[in-house]
Amino acid sequence: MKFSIRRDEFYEALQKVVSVIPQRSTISMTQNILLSAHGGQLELMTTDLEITMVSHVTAEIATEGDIAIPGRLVHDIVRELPNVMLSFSADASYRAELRSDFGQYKIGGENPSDFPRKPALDSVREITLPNEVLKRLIDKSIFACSHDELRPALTGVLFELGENSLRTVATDGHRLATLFYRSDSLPREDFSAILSTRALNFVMRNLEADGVTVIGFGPSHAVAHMGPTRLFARLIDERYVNYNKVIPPETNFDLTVDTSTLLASVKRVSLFSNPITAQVLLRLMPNRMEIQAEDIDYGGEAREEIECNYEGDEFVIGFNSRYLQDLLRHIDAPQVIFHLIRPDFAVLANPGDQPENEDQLMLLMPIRLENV
Amino acid sequence: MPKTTSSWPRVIAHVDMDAFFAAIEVLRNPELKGKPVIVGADPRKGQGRGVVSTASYEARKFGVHSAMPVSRAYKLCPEGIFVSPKGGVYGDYSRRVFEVLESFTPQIQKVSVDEAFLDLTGSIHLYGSVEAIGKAIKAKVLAETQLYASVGIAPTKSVAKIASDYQKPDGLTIVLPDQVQDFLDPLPVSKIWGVGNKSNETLAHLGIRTVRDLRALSREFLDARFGKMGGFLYRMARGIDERDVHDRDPVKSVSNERTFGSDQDDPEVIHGTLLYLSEKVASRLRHQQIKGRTINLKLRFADFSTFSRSKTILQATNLTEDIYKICLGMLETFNLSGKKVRLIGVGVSHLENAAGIQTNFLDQENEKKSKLEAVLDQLQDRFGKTALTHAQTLNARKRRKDHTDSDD
Repeated sequence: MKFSIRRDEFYEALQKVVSVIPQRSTISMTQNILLSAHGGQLELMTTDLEITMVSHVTAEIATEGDIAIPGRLVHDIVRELPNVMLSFSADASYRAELRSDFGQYKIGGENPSDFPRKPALDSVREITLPNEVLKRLIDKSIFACSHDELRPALTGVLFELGENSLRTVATDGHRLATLFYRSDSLPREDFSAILSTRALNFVMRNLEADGVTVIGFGPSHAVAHMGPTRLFARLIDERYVNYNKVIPPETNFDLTVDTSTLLASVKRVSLFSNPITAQVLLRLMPNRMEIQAEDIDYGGEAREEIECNYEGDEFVIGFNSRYLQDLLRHIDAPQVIFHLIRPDFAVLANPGDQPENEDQLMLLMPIRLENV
Repeated sequence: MPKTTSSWPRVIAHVDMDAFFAAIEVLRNPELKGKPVIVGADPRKGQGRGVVSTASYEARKFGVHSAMPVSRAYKLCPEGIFVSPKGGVYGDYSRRVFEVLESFTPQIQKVSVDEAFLDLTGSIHLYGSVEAIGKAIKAKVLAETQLYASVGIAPTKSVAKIASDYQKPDGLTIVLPDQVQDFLDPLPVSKIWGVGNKSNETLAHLGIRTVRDLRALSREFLDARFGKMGGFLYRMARGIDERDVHDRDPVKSVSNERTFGSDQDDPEVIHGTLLYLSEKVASRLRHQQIKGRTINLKLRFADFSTFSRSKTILQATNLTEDIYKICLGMLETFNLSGKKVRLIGVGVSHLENAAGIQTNFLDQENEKKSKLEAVLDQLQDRFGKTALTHAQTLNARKRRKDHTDSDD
């Protein structure tokens, strides 16, 4: 195997794949990058067995071949080199050598046939999404994912395909976040899959601002084609909760408030809440609301009042301020609309206005208050 | 003799460290070895007012035992070496002991820093026999801490507890399932775990001295004579105890007490102390985010006569002011003229969760459970002190060396 390549191009391709290499693993092969030089293309692949990342770069290939070489070492040495021509060669016993104007670096490689195979993806359902839409679909849901390993389904984001539509859903039981997207370019079939937060974070990192991404869903894996990079991710093979059941079909009161005003107020007031419960109270009154917090233990207390659009009953509802802030941060619109039922019931929230073919909805469970 | 696991419905061990604090003091200062070491309050040449925490076995020969007033310990054993307790050091040793115990089973119930129940039912096959696991526990505790433990193993908690005390120190007592009755029968009733001085006195009055005597009494008689305690005595006399090891006894009350350095009759001091204790109890409740509905007041007079009053209110509270006002009302029911107070205690029971619980739509059916657990979790999380204080407590707040404070 022998090829030459410019440092910058090689480094860019290495950067795309190196972060998938696990910090430590019982399978030492996963510490490697699989380099494959064929037909004028150099392919780089890394895996942690859950996620497999593949990138491509053009190279001058003198002799075709494959090798598995220590991934971080190759990445680190290339990183330290200026943009010069590099030539890479490997012999039949997988001893590799990288040459530059500066000198040569010998790297012990391994048999490429021992490297884990790329996940096979047969009977793939493909969808194509504009990058900015995919980004929003992930961003508006992923923050609500659970970290509870006992509920594996909830540690990922549900991708639910319906009639020309796609919905992403995430929940940890305390809050639920979903974005619904409608497009004629989406298939007319029902299908759903759960993608891990780790895989989606890699997608977010590799997503370019413009362009489109093709996602293929196979029986056990999904693949995202992002320009010269492909990401394979094992699906979370679990049943998702019936989230529709918890979204109240009807609510009693609507409250509209300026998103950034409320967020700023909650941020300030929550500094005075008990650090363990992070509890803030919203006292709802006609056309104004009071945001308050107190920490009985340390004597701190804060109270603010802001204007809002509300004509419902007066009541007090408590939230974990971190969850409330998360919710407000994911509203892009200047106004947020809350839909309320009772102090101890789920609250719904959505942006005051949003694109016609999108429907963002969040649900937040309150803190039950005893003697307010 | 049946020694196989199959004849054991459950294998429960009670591990009790021998003269724990005193043994640690000897480890830290080998010159104390073989001497009567008494860990506790400063005896101040027989004038001290605190109590003994632990006495070494050498000191116990003089009749010194834990919870005895130090003044009395001093009289019994004037040549004793009195050492003040070092909580942090003992805590480190305690953690090491528990690390060892946890290597035998995850099912552990910590009774105190130096005492625990272990459910070994699932671990026994790894050691082959009950004797082997008992010996292994003792050996590993000794190897890891250089301290001796006494171990009792029995099919129930209460019998295991009695067994660990049976051959102290450095004892290993195994009570086989079919020997429980023979083991219990000759023991004095005071050995039964949970039989306090009052019940013991009543039983002695009835001529009941041994467990065998107790077993001769009918359930009806015990119920009539002892009320709720009757059923307990009936079961204990027969070695019947279904309680599980992992059953954490939920904390039922929060209380603070102060023993004055010198007996007090000054209303200002008494009221100030009452407010100080109310504040402490209320602050602990709030830290643990719980409230209580029953307020308890305890008074001990100079002649050691002890009284308590309690009042249950409609709305649970964790506010200093509420607790103090109710205590003050109860204090007024005592005729204090001409009497000196030795100890005041304030407590709150009938606890319930105070702070909000984050609701979760995934397990709404478990809410009641999580409510209880939240109380437990919060109880474990103790820290901090209030930054603000009532002026009236300023005097009471000064930690005078001669006062003894305790919380429960």
